[in-house]
Amino acid sequence: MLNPKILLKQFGIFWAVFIVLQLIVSTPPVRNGLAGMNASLFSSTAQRFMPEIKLNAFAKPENGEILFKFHSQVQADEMIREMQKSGKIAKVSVPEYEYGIDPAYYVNMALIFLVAIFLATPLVWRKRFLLAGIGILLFYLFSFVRVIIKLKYEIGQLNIGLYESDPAGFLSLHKMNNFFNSLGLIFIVIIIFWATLVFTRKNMEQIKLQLT
Amino acid sequence: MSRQQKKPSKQKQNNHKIKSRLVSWWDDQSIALRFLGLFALLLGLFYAFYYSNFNLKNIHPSILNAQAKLGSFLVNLFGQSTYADNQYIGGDGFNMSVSGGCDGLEVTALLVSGILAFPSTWKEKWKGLLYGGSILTVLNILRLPMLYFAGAKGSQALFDFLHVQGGFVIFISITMFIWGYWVIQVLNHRKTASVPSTTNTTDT
Repeated sequence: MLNPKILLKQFGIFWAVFIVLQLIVSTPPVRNGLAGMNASLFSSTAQRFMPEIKLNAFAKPENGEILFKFHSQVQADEMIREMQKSGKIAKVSVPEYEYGIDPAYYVNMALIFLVAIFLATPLVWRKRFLLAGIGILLFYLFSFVRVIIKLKYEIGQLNIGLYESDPAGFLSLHKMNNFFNSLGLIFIVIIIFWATLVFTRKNMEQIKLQLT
Repeated sequence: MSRQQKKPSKQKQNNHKIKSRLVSWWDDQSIALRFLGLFALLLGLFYAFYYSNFNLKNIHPSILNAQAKLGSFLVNLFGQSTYADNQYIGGDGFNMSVSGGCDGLEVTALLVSGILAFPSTWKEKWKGLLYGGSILTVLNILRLPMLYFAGAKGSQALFDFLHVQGGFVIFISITMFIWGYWVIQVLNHRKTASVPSTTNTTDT
């Protein structure tokens, strides 16, 4: 017989891990370290998929916010071409834009939830950590998609002739941004990752043993 | 000649090996995969409807308005004088709006999908849907007055904590607990029923 009381213990582990990780991640050194890592990961990935903009990102030490600074590469090329046509040799100053995201809500909370749910799964501890690691990788792949969609949408809203020029395309970008960046979907995607990695025959046998 | 005859037989053997490995892998995974496939499909259907123009224009605003009215009514039971205007609950210098994501529909869809996708009888599913759905609905209704008091009488930090964490992490963890408890009840019930043909359903 499976004992439902053990489920309560796992529920307790989930909340203990979640609260402890939240407390650790909210301390300024950890928060800023994570934000810096996320800024560099997100900006390099976004840059690869958005060559039409020149993008940089960094973490603001005062609040751990990730600030994206970017300008349109298309606009810069056009300005240089015009300068060359007119024969003027001067420094080209392309308008630069900024966009900030709060990683506490955008990444950290979901990531902590993911780690807590894997560590609370009744499996041997080595496997819990291993599956949590794979889950983190999957979550980052998903986050890259979210960041690219978010940045494209936010840049489109600036009306600088990049992503808003095709109204139908921009409308679908708007819908995709609403969908992929809703908190509910992010958590549900994590649950699907968790279920995919945990619900194998071998794991289920282990879980049954642990719950007995 | 003998070489030519050996080659296809080796290939056949390899093909047979791959086939039997695939079959045994599918046998091992099929119940879990079927659960996952159905679970993801049901959630996909929910989101297709949830984000459809039809829902966003015709149904969703009415749900949010009703939740705001109910929330305001409950807050007023505790001696407050609040009003509900469309999706807003206001009064005593504090206003809050019930918007998409705060409606509790996503977590309810998670529970419903988890219960419907799990291999069980309709009788077992109905019980889970009825009890689990009722618990989530009651908790979600109580969440609005709690949030109002946290914002009006407490601090912005407390409100933010209960709003975001309460909205998703607390509710999703409770939903998963309810689902896990229901699964345990279903599996235990089958064991006590001692029907040999149904024992393999515990593999999921």
